[in-house]
Amino acid sequence: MLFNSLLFFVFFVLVYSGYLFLNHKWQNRWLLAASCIFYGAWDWRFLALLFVSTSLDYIFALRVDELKDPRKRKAFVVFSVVVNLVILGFFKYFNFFITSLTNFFSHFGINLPLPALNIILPIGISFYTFQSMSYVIDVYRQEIKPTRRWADYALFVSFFPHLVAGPIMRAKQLLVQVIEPRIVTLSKFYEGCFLIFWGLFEKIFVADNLAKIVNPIFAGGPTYNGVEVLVALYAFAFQIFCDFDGYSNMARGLGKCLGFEIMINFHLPYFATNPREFWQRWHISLSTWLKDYLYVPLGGNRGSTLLTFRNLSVTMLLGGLWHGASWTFVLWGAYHGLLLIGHRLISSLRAPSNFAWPKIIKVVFFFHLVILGWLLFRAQSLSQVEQMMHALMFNFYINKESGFLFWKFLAIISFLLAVQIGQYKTNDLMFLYRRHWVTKTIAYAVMMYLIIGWGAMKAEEFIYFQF
Amino acid sequence: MISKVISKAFLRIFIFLVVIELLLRLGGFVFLALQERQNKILPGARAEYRVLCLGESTTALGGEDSYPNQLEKILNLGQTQTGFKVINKGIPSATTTHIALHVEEYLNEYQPDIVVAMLGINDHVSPLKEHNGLIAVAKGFFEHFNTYDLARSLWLRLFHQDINEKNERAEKQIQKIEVDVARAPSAENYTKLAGMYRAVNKSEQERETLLKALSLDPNDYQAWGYLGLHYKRLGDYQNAAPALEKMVALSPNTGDSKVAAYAELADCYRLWGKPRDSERVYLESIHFLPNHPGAYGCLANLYLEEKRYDEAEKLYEKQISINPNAVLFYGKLAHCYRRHGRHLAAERLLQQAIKFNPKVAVLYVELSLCLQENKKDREAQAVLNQAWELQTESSDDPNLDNDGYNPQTAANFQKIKNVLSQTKIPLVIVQYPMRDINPLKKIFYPAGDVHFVDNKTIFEHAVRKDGYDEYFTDRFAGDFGHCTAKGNRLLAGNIARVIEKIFK
Repeated sequence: MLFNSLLFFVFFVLVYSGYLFLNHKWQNRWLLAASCIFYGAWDWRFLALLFVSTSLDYIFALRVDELKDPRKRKAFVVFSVVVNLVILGFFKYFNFFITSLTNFFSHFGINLPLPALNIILPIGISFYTFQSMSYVIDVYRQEIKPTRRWADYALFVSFFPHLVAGPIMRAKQLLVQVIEPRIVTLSKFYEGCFLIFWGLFEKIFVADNLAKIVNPIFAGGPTYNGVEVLVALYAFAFQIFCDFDGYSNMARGLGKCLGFEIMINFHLPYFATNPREFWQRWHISLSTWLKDYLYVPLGGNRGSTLLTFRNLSVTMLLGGLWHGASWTFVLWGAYHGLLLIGHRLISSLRAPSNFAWPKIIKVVFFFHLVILGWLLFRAQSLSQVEQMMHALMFNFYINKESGFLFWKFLAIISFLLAVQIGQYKTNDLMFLYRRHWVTKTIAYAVMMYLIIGWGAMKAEEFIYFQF
Repeated sequence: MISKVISKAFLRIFIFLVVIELLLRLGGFVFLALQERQNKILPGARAEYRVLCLGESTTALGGEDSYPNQLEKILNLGQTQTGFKVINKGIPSATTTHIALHVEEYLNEYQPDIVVAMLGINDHVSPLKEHNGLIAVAKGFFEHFNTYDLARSLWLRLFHQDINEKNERAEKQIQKIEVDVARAPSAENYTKLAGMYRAVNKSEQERETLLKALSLDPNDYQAWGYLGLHYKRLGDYQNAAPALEKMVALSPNTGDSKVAAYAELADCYRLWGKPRDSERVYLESIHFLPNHPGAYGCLANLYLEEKRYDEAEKLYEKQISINPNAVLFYGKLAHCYRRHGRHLAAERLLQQAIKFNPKVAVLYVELSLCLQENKKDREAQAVLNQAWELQTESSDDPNLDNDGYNPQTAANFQKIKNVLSQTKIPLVIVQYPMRDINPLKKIFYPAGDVHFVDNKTIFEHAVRKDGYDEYFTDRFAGDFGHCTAKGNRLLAGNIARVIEKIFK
């Protein structure tokens, strides 16, 4: 069930109208049932896995809490992390591992008769595994008390607005909201509706239309010139942002309607001036997760410079691999690791001076570094990366087609860009929502026109579902 | 307080709708301006053929991939000297009324050598709706807004998915029958199964099953008949004719079915472009059962097509004398009278037919044309209005032989045809994908220099094979929608074949 489908609309209206009439206890059960239907609609077999994974971590947390001996506690939490990673690894990385191994050995003329399993990737597994993993660790760190009600815990993991593509929430933020009664107010409802509408606009109009520019160019086939490749990269940068941010906004909006506060996942990432800032703005729920449960435990930046660099690279490599079982993702993670290291080096080496580049130049420059990363991320293969880099460097000229493509790209993102500049200037993501009602009505009409008149109407899947 | 809230809400909705309407109009304006720029890029020399494509959004939209654009590419493929320039005059949401009104203007402006038209889908809007009470007036008012069209298309896009479900159900039923037939294979059962395949447009399976039936019983005249009709639908007359001949030879000599067999065979020859064979078969049919009304009218139609009005007239009169209930032939006969200059006789005949069966809209259209020729313009319009009212009153009436076209559309088509035949420019009438060509052929009857492009079978086949979404981006018309690049390619290829034949 996709957020941008008619089926989901009907589903949510039904769920919501029931929800409003129930008391807190039944609201939770109702939402849990709805979440199961939502997830089971993809494939009912996924439900079994979700059930197993949820129940295991629920029991692990209780057990960790009971144990008093610090060594046993530690051993147990390590065990729980390993179990989670094995489940994730099996479903997500098994075949990747096997094929990589076979390829590696075939270089030396050895044929490994390893079996490749036909595993379907359960949707959202990376998201909910990370979420329930962090729960056990938090209990171990004694930052929270484990819940004794399985249903509450199950709802915390499977809550349908954020189940399949995040944000990855912590127990501190979300479990509390499951346990405590929530208040639905009219103003929250309005804000929720606005966020859903804005998310739909980002997804249906911006992301899906940009996909039509991006996909043919990345599909291979005829060689495109450098300008076309560049426009495709620009387009992909906004496509993936709008796809994921759109989803996150819809999740936030749905949450708000139900009285939940779901965290902000993107805070205008393309306005970042350096890699550090970028990761504070991009996929915030994942980057803070990696920071808290990987980077800091590894030692963070408390050790020597070299150790910090090691920690940064490990975190970013694994962060890349989290996105999927492919070498291009690993390379993308490595690239961002290098950017972070480079940034640290430069800022530590540079002598203090009064000169500073204008902000806009820094933003534009760093944006181009980011899209180089997107090239690694989006490319089908390493040879395609090479081909496109070649086009960018040696085959860069403007002709009628590439000019047209650029204007098309600009037309698609213009409304979004205008709103984002407003959001940035006011430092308020609800910038549009807080305009005068006439301005707002006109803006809504424009968005509606763009969605219905020009939006891609077939409910397209969200990119981040595959991770 | 409450009234303030409500009035503010209304104001909001009003502003919202106004902005959307303005954007739609602005978008349309920019679109047409860009299209016009493209159309004006004509090479100076007049050495090439110009193809003018008339239509609405199905013609206009698609940019590089629109069907006129792809048509130009296809037509110029093997050409070395005489190139083709295709002009896209598709105007989104245009009705036939609009196009019929401007067709002369377009001809003067673009000087085409041939005109291609795919029209009519927007004609649910009638200029005559003022006559139908307050609700209709209100509806008519809203229909003038682009926002209404937008909402309507959205509605269809979101809620018109039941066609797929229907197919799925049929599919399941077929699977059951397949099992039964496999258990008891007989020619009769195979023929039945073939019928099921036909119902869900599984053309290849239908043919195979029929061939199986014939291998079991080569004298099964029904199987021969269905096989012949199958080929005929695909336009493969070479195979269709022998199969239908078999059916005629084998079918029992019991009145109706034999005459129906003759009629199909004759029709097949007619479509094949062998009118003499067609004539021979009709005459055989008449010889076989001289008092059966079936063949006279059909043969007369054939003569009418060949402009042999004297013979046609006699046959129509014979037909009517045998079966006075078939009022449609009155219309045809009236047409013959008009050709002979007997306008008053035609008028009288049509009025008689209408009295006989006042529910057939085509007769009113014919009468209206007749009155126009007799310079009774006001009466003509009144009759046309009557036809329209009839249509809205009882659009479910099976006796209504308008085949889904409202009388105004039929009249507009006639006008376009007349304008083109005056200027001696051939007209290619394209039926929409998935729709039946025959109602259009009826409207344009007799064909003259009008050529038809049938897009039913080819699209149904393609959709069955690759899925609806490969060919269409939406469902604005219910059974079909705007084409994807691939859909437009199919459309253009189909049209190109007809155009190439004309210029040979």
